[in-house]
Amino acid sequence: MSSTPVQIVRYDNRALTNALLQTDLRPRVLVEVEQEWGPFRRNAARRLVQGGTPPQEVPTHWHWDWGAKSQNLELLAYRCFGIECDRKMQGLMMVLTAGKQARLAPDAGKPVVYIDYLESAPWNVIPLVVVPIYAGIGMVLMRAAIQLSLDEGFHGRVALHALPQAEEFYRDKCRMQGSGSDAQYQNLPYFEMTRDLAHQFLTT
Amino acid sequence: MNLPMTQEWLLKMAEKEGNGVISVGGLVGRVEANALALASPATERGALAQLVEWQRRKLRWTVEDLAEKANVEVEDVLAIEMGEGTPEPRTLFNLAAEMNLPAPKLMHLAGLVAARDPRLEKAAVRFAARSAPIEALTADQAAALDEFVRVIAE
Repeated sequence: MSSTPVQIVRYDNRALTNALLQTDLRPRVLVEVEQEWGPFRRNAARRLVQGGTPPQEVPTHWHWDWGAKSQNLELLAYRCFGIECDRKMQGLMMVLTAGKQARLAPDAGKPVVYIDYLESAPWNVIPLVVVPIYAGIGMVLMRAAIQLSLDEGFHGRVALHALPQAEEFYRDKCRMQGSGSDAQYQNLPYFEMTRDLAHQFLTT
Repeated sequence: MNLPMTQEWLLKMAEKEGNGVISVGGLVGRVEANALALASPATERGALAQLVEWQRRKLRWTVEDLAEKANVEVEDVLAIEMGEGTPEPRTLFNLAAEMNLPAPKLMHLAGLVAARDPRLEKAAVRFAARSAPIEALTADQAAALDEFVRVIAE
C-alpha cells in the first residue's frame, strides 16, 4: 500500500495535523472501514430522526456500504484513496481512470479522472455530528484527484456526480462547472473540473 | 504521488469547505439494489415513497411508530420514503400489513416484480406527480392518496 504525507485540520483548534494519503487501498481495507463507518452513520441518522429532523434533511448517504463498493477494485481502472489520521480513515475516494470523457466545453471528449465515490468519515460531517473532528477532507481528496489527473496526462480534468446535499460544495467551493441533473445517472447533479478550473483550484 | 500543498492553502481551503456533506456517488449503496432500482421506472419509485409516507401520516404515525409496528428498521422506512434503494420483500410485506395496503402492488411499485400493469403505472404517475408533502395531509393530498389506494387495492 503506497502513501504520501498530507495535512488536515483539527476542527476544534483549527491546527494542521499530519496524516497519510493512502493512494492504493485494497478491498479488505474498505470492508474494515465500513465496519466502523457504517454503524456510526446509521446510528447518527437514527438520532437525527428521533430528534425530529425531517427525512429529506438526513444525509442521503447514511446507508452506503464501502464494503460492497470494494469489488470495483478488482478492475484495473479503479483506484481508491484514503486519508488516514489517528489510526482511522478520515475520508475515502474511489476513482476511475479509464473510459470517461469530459462532456462540457471546452474540454468535451477529452479524458477525465472520474470520482465514482467520495465520502468524509461520518464523525467529520455536520449534521451527523454536532462537533466534527477534522476539516478539509474534501479539499485534500479533490487535490489528490487533480494530481492523479495531472499524473495520468489528463491536465487536471476531473468529473463526478454529487449527491444533491453536496452540490454546494462542488459548485461554490471547488468551483467546478456543473451541467445540472443527469437523467442518465439517478438525476444527480453532474460536475466537471476543467483544465482551467483545475489550475484555478490549485492556485487559489 | 507528490502532492504539494502549502499550509496556508490547506487552512484556507479547509475553512472554505466547512463540514457539510461532500459525498459523491449513487443514491444506493449495494450493487444488487442498484440494479433492481434501475429496473423500476422512477415514477413508480416516487409513487411508492409518497404512498408510504402519506399513508403513514394519514395514520398519524411517526417513522419510528411505523418501523416499530411493522417490526422493520427505522432506516428501511426512511430509505423507502426517500425513494432510495430497493426494499427487502419482507420489509414491504410487513409495512403493507400494518398500513392495510396490498403487498403485491407495493412489490410492483418497488420494482421487485417484473409484471407490468399499465393501469397501475398510470395511477402511479398521477400520484407521484402531486406536489411535495407537507406536515399534515391537505384535503387534496388525502383525496389523491385515497384514490391511489383504491386503484392499487383493485
